Amino acid sequence: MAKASNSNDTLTRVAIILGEELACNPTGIAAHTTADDVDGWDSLAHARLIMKIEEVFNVRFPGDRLFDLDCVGDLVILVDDCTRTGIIANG
Amino acid sequence: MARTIYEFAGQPDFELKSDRSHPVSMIVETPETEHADGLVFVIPGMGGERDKHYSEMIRRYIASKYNLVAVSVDAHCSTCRPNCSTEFGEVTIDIEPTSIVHALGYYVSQGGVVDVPLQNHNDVIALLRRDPSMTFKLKAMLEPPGRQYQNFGVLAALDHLTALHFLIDQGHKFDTGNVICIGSSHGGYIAHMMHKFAPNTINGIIDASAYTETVPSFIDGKWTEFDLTDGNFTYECSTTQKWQFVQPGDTTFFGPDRALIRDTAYGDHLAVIADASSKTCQFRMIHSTVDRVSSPYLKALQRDRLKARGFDVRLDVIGEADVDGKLIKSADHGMGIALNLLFDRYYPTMSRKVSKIDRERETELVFRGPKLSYALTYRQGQIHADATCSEISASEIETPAASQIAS
Repeated sequence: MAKASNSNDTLTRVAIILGEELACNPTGIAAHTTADDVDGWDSLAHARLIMKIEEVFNVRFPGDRLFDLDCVGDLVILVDDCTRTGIIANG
Repeated sequence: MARTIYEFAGQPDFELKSDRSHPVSMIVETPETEHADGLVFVIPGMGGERDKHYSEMIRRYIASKYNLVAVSVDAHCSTCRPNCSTEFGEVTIDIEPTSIVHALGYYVSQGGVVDVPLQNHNDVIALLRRDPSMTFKLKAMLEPPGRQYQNFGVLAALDHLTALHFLIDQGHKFDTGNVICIGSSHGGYIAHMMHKFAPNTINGIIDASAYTETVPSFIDGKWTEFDLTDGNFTYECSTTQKWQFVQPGDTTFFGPDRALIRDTAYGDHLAVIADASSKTCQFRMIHSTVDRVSSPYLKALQRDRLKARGFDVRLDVIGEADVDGKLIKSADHGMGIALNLLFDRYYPTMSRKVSKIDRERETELVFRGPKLSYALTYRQGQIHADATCSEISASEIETPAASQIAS
């Protein structure tokens, strides 16, 4: 079942994951933060981050939106969309 | 979208006359539609693109956005670099013993003190590690999983084509008239090799910085393929390979024939391809003018020769001024181009071409070299590859003109 979530809660959790994956301070992560603002957030790190977020939130993002993310806020919206619509990872 | 993993037996190494012990794996991302518009082989280079998370994202993106079956194949020796998070096993590093001894000599010559017993190479390495301010260069061989070796291109191309036949036989529903290959650097090179061996099967090639011929440092273990830094050690790495360059009579000799079959811009072989095909393959290539790994000159030559043979070819030549920080992040080899953006740029410029694929046509290709002929034939749905001594017909033996005889 999809887990109810709200954007602030999601943002906090995404920031923590981002901090762990990219070794940065999660308190400095905001909705407007972009990849350019965080050292080491390159395409490979982005892939690692997306997979980790899918795992933690137990969702599977639509393939065509995987690279269509300009900032952390877009990522949060994507997570919320997927949890709300019930796009849950298999297994 | 469904993800499926398959394993199948790879083509035997017909050049070295040996079977394969390591199976070929592939990961297939299938779109949700009943019938996909085609299939794309995502062929990464040897570097970071091979990362398993990145590969998965690229496959899912292409499958979802373009309704294509997206496939990654762990073809022969594709996994040949350490420190990548790969889906297909780990590469180990084997440090050459003589270079450890040389490093110890350097350590002593620089005033280093040997104050512990040195009973084996591990003891030496531990000693050299103690002072991080002293740096050492060590020669290392990269050992791909399953005791594979650097064949360079031929087997990897055949493995991808075998994978395609395997998927068709498994009943995957996709348009076989729209098989695309995308790759950068070595991946793009493999794509061109696939077209060389199956000119009626590959409908499009999208490459960034793909070289056109063998890179000598990749097949001669004495050269350094790339450097790997680990603390105060720099490993000068080469991938394990079986070629040699001094005994022409031996099957392991890497002579002109071995080089020419691996040359995707060789005019005589392009003529063979053009004669045997409907010339349906569309080439979309992007290359830097300052690429130090893959010659921009040879790339331009490849474009010109393909065009002269009637193929639909586009080569975007990139200079320093074209670096935009988005698609093109640098003018160096690879140009930092993400495969998803590369696909977005070029795939919409391609069209499906109606043509039977090689196994339906039972294509026969013979690529002649100075001493060997490479024959690729499609029979009963399978590829058969062989390299035998060329038979030179009487008409091909040059007869001196009468005037030359007289003189």
